[in-house]
Amino acid sequence: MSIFEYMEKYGHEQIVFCYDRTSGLKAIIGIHDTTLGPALGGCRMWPYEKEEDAVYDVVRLSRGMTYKNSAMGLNLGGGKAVIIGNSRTDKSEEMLRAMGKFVQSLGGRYITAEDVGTNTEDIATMALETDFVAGRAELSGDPSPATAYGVYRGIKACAREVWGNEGLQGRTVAVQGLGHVGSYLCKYLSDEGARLIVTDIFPENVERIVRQFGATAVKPEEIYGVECDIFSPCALGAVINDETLPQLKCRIVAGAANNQLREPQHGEVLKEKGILYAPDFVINGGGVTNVAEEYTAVGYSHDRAFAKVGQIYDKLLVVFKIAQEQNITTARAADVMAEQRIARLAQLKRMYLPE
Amino acid sequence: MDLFDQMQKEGHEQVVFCHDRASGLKLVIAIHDTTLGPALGGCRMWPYANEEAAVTDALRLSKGMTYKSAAAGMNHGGGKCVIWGNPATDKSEELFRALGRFIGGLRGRMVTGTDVGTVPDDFVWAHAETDFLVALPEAYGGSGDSSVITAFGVWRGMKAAAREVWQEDSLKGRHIAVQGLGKVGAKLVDHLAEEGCRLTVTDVNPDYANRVKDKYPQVALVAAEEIYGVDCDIFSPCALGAIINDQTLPRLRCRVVAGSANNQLAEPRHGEALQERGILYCPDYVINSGGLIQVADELMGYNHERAFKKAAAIYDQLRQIFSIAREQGTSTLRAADLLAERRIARLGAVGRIYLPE
Repeated sequence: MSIFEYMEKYGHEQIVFCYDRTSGLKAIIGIHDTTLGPALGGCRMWPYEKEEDAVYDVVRLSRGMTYKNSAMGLNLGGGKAVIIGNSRTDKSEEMLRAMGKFVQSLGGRYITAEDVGTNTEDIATMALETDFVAGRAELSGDPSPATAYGVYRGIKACAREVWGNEGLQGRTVAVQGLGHVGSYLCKYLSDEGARLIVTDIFPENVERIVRQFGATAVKPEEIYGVECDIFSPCALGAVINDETLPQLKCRIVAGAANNQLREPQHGEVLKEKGILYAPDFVINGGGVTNVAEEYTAVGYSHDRAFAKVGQIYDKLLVVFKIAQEQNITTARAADVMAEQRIARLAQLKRMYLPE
Repeated sequence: MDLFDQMQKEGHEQVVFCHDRASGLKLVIAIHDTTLGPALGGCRMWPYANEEAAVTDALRLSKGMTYKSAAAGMNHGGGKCVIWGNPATDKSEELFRALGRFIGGLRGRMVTGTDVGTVPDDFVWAHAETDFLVALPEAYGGSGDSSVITAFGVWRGMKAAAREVWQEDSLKGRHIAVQGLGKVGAKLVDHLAEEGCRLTVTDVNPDYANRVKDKYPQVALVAAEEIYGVDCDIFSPCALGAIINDQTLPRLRCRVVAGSANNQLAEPRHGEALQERGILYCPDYVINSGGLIQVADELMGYNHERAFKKAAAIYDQLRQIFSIAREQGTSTLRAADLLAERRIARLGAVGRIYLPE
């Protein structure tokens, strides 16, 4: 598909190809929609085999950020950047600084942050050349605790929806993936008295969680079929698919992973099976909500940021209400909520105010 | 070919695809090189057959602007905007205002104005959204008709060529064949007649030809096709492009080619052919840069005197180009490229010196 075909189909404003001869930087910045404010989204570095793969990724991910940022109630549009290259071997100071200059060249229409293949140090290097970065170590820092807190709050909203009671004491939660986010989440759940069944492809992660929280360990492929109240995918995407769906024995799917549904139709299947699905881009929006706090008029405050992350609880209740009223999947309801906010605030923008 | 492959090959910094759903705007902004300053280049509107054609045009034209600005001694990089659309049917206020917002979003890295398919009035709409525009109508602060300064620059360029070939700036008594008597050609004739040149001229439009003949009865009028074979000192193409080609080259009986037309050489090799025949060619993109110099001056608040002073320096730029061509035994076209590249490299290096803000 050509660039303009993508832009017309998905509603992108701007796709920017950036090249720097000295460092070999090849980057694409996607700005999807800036109705709500500057486009915020991470900068991914990945060894794409083909240019069109990189284009497709930036198109898809920048659009996702519009929905996520809107759903989180942030005054930010959706954007994303991808650097074509191997993050272990191709990164250099000059490449990251060139990237910083290109971010600066957009004058604040795009704000970058860390993502797959980039880290806080890389963002600090980019920040030598641009004002428009978020998630610096000395400000909001590692987004994982905020993401985990948001997922925890989201799980409680689901519990309230299903059982009329947000308490998790005695509930069994199956956690898939014990990286940064998964680990912090286990702590929240364990502190509230939930029973944990866990898995990870790295045995040392599993041993640590078993030791800390007395969790029950299962093999990675067994996690889908365990008897539990809540299944919490915190690792891979596309884990809700034709193979896993028949195995699920939970009432709720609520986790931190991106793109949990392989296809939108798998959201329908969950609905038919009576499993409540917490749309991924809403429940995992804690990280972006936390970094976005750096861009508020008053600047970053940990307490204020976490208070906002906690409101993921309320956002999900709104999503569930829309789903019920319109008899649609919760995933679709989350899109509706995000789109409605953009459309309504665009109307508000029309009113002229002298500067 | 992938876009990054093309950018790598031609050295482009940035290619910006802009789309606006409300107006249907599809805009490609190509920024080639900004070592010398903000990218400057016109905004073309054209119903390209496909996206690739639009991108290729933007890439090619933006690179040309880098060389043009650099060789003309300007403090601008090269850029170009292309709107993929039909200028006859697709123009609207919202389209040009969306364009203005995208130009504004680049915060001055790109400055644009009228080009093929757009007119100054289109940018009055865009001006509601951004200041990074040139060649606006005079009522909106534009510098107005640029044919006067373009003709002036060509005249100055001819003097540089005369210095190179005959060791004197004066064109008095030289025989000059002018092809095209439109806005620029007619004004060039004014300079040349005043200096006492012998003139042979042509234009496909008899009104234009007769107007010059009425004003200067001593001028010889010839049929359009005959202009190439006129036995003269300087052939001055001020109309079409690609007029130096395999058919016309054997007919030329001049010592200098110096005119305002764009893309005078059908192919680069025709520049070499001129060199082999001992004909001095004033690279078109340098000698015709007066118009660009004028609109660029608008960014500093247009000053007529300053703009003409800068346009007069086309003389010095061409002298440098002839000197490079002589020293390196290359065509003047190649020498102009070398001058541009050398200037960019040296000023890029000068920029290393740290200045506290």
